[in-house]
Amino acid sequence: MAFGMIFDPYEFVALMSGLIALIGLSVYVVFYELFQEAAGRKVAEEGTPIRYYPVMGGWDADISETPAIGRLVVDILQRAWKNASKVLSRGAKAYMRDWYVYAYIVLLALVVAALMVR
Amino acid sequence: MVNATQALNLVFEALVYPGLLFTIVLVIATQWYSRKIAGRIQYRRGPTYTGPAGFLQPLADLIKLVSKEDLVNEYGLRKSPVVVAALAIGALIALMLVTPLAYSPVMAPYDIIIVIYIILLSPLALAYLALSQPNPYSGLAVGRYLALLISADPAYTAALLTPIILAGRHFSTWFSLYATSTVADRLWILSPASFIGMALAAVGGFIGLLAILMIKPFDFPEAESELYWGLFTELGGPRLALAFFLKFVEDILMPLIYVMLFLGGPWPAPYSNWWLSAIVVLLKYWVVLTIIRLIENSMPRYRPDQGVKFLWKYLYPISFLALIVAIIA
Repeated sequence: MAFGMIFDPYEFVALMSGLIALIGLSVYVVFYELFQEAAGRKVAEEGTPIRYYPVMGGWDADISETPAIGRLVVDILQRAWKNASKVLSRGAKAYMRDWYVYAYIVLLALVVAALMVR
Repeated sequence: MVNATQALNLVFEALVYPGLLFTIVLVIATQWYSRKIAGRIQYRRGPTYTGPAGFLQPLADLIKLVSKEDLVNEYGLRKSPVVVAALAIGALIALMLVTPLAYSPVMAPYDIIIVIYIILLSPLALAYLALSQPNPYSGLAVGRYLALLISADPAYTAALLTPIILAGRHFSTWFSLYATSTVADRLWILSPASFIGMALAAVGGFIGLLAILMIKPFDFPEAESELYWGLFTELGGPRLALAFFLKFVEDILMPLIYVMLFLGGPWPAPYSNWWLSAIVVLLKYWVVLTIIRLIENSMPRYRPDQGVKFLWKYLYPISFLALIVAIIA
């Protein structure tokens, strides 16, 4: 393999970071700042009171609620795995409250630690 | 380290070919083509007005959007989403330099890890852009998008690693993306086991590609009949333009990587002949793009739980089996 430019992994990371910054800056300047300066910001600021308010269905919505993203993800995964999530939640309720489960976990950790430092 | 000539070369590659300018041309061409295919399937003509056969319509749309006033409501984030989107676009375009389209491709040992990391920046930027202005529909879409990514990304990565590992073990390609693409055709014929591994990874990689690009049946994060426009609901003007730009560059880069790893890369062109390699890779990319667009315009949409279940049930076993075969073959 002699074709192309070969770097070591650290140089490659530095190079890619530099290129990302260069291209990102070019995109920002050309497609945002330049066009905003040339046209976007020239739109007259007609000061209607609801101009910067969130509007839902054509009506001014005072505060727009955003659902909890993490809960949504868990909900979708639970719906996808109905039986598994049932077993998991039942199992967690039935066993994870008992002290001997934690004792088993500590015991297991001790065995693993013992094997590692042997 | 790079000398002055190499540095100038890299800047040219980043900003002109195959970087920013070339990617913009490719975005215009692919979007025009995609809209023509959609039009044909839906008994419409697609874009016809701007430029010959409507070819410049995507450019006209881009200029229209970026020229609008950047309107942000009083609860929205102002500058940071735009900066994040621009950097994510920069990240994807920088990766064009590790493809056979570049006349002097960039590579490093284990660069696939860095490439996979950089690819991940784009969905995160899209989610950040969507959440930067409060809207319940954008929030629902981001929840669905993250569930989709959790269900597709690890398995897709496993599928990508299969040819990389096979090439690294048999051809000493240092687990590099570009170096692997130069031997990608030979990975299929190494042994029966490698063929099985590559076939499984190619299937898994294609399903993962559809999911990550939110192509039907996995487009539930932008289900317009349920969530207005999903991730893009609250975006308008230059923010929508940047979000589209990001999505369209992702639509180019991900199938290109698929071509590099699973469809033989620049084969049958010799990889040292860069312009012939670039033409071959672009032709293969065009075939993949056509298949993707045909699927997108002819499939129904999964419910989020159905889509996620499909990915866990089929994509994970296929991809990880391929990875295991690559490791032990």
